Amino acid sequence: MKHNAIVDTLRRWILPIIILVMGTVFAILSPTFLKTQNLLNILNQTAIMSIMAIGATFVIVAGEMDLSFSSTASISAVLCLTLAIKGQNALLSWVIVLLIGLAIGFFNAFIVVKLKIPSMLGTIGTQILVGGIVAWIANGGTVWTSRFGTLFAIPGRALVFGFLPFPVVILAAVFAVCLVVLEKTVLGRHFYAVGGNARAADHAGINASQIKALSFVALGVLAALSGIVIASKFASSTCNVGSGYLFPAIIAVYLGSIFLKDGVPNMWGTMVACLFLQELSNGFSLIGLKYWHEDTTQGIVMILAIAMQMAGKRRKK
Amino acid sequence: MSQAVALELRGITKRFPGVVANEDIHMVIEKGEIRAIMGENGAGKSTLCNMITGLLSPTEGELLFEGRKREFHHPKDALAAGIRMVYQERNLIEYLTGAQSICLGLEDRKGRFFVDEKRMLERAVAICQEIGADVPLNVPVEYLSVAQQQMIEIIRAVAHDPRLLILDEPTASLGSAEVKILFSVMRKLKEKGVAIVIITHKIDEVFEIADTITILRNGRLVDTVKNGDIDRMDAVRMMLGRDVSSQFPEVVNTAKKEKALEVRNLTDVGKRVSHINLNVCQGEVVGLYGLLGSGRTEILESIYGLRGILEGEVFLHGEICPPGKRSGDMIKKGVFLIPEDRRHLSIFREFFTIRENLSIGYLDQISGFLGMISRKKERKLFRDITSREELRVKYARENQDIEELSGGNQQKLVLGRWIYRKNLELLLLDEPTHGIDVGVKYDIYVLIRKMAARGKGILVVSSELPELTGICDRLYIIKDGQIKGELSRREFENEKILEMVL
Repeated sequence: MKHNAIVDTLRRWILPIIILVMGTVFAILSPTFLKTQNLLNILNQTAIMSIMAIGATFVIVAGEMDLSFSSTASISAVLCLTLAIKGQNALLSWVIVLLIGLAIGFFNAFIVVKLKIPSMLGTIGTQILVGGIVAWIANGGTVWTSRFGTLFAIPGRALVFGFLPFPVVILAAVFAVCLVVLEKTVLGRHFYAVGGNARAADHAGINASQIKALSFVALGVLAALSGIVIASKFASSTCNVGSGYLFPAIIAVYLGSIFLKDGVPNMWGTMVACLFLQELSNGFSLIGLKYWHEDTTQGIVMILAIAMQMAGKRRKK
Repeated sequence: MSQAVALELRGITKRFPGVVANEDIHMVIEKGEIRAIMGENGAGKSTLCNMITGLLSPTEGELLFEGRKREFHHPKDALAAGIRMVYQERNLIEYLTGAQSICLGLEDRKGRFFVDEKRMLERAVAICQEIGADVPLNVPVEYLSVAQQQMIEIIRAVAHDPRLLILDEPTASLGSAEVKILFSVMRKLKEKGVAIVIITHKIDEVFEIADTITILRNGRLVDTVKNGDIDRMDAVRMMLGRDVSSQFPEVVNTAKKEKALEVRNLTDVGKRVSHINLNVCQGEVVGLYGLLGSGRTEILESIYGLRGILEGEVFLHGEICPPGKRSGDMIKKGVFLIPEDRRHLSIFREFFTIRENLSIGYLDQISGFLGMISRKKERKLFRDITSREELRVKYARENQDIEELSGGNQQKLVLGRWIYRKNLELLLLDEPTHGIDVGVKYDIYVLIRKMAARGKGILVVSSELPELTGICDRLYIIKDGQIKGELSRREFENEKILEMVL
């Protein structure tokens, strides 16, 4: 029994352990890895994907899936840039894209909750639909500008206290709020109840449809927010800029579910998994490996991690 | 070794880390014998059967099947030997038709590769005719009722010509007509020399169908007796290992004049029930008796806001409930429904521990500013409620999975989720003792009467008449979605009631 307790704890903490082990390896192979500037870089680089992953955590906890948030991020980034080129006020463009994110969230909620389309399929529809609209706006290519105001540059480029990249500040704020909401409040408990057993939740007086709708809306808004950061940081965006973040963000949620809780997606887990994925990418490029090495390693780690978690579950039965 | 013996167990023991599930079980089952195995949950019935079917291997002991020593390492070994088991949980593939399900693994073929659907259907029809079962065979099983699905499972087991058939709680989801068919099937198989093992909680059924009865307690075999040698009370005593003075607590009338619930002329949107009039007073236990599918559950769901109302009104404490209310609104008004299908409608298997399964009913009482849940209050609440003398939930750890608890303890936890809420006024209980041990059943009856004594209104649905006549103050009889009669406790007569529902 004692032995099991140790194995269980190890399993729950395997993700941070891997982060430390990989970190040590990278630090040995590359002197830059442990420099403060590089560690801040890792945080800065993971911010955009992490904000999406945090949003996706709500949807996955509520028992649904959303494959459209990449398009939401794309439309947000492309619109921000298009409006900047037209000389619009940055603040106004942010309000507009956040509202669009909200609207896409409601649309997903509508097709899943009202039309009862399985979310995995329905949101692919949204992804393609919104993706088409973005391509239309961007004329199928890249939107970029070199003439933008100071305000526009803040979310992606400002340095707080002269060293802390603004995306990290946004990520910290988003993470703190979402962590508290999902893990500490009654509302968060309702998300877990609905994802665990929607019908039992309905019997327990929880409006499961409402909770699911709320999860899509939250992700829609957060994806739009990440689009704002993309636009500001790169001042350029292809019409499918978001698609590169789709699978890493979803992988982070599932990978994160092995942290602390046995296979239950949770905010801490998502954040730790995002850091892990970014560490891998950063370290690999520092020691001169290519992105395909990183992809291969990510795939192996993901499968191993989930296999471990499944083995743990089986033993419990 | 005589030719007549189907199965013999010699000193079978099964140890799990920290638990002995079965200890030194000796048992001989003859061909053409119907053997009932009884015992509380956790007595070791399932473990024993799983060793016979090869799902588990015994730690010690020998298993002989038809006189030969056998070791089954996998269910397919036992299947090949002619042992089939019908599990309590249905294992059907939703989109296969009845006929396809029955013939699964024994498909007729055209040539080498192609499935002969027509022959399969004919064969399935022939089997159904032979045993007198009437279930649709050419629609996907997901469109069938739970009872029909269970019949498909039973027919499927029979179709494979088993020489030993094990039935785990086969009647749990069957109506009385299907139970009759099942019993006649069992008798026919018996004539053919098939040995049958039936596990059930329903003592009356055991006395009706079994030749011999084996009673297990705490993993040990208490005794094997001939049917007729013991009576009901003996059986219960042997299962529990102690005397039970009575099956039901004493009923003291605590009903007040004020009505906790009044339903007037209610018809639901799907017209499953129509023109229902009923009332429950404070401090009163009222039963709804009817057969499976008579509309009992639909009445509770309409009251609770899970089912739309076409016509009619629901009054709580004389106040009308506006139409379009949801379960959440009813909970705010102090009305709680405990559904029959615990697995799908009450418990949270994924994501939640037993503590969270309980506290979901009290989140408003343990949370503060911005809905922040206090973990400390949550733990205290869990300990307070589970340790109450009248509830006594047995568990190992607060962060256990709820499925590790026995059915009875799960049900106690689900009851505990609502019954200590400060605003409790009316409890709607749908088959509150479904699939629960005799011992825990009694605890739940006591609890129901106690809630009534505290002035709460209670509406209980059950398909077990003795249970309702045992604990209710008043009874409504339902048939085909309508109320056929109302009886007060003085008028309870089983024959009269049965006449009304049949």
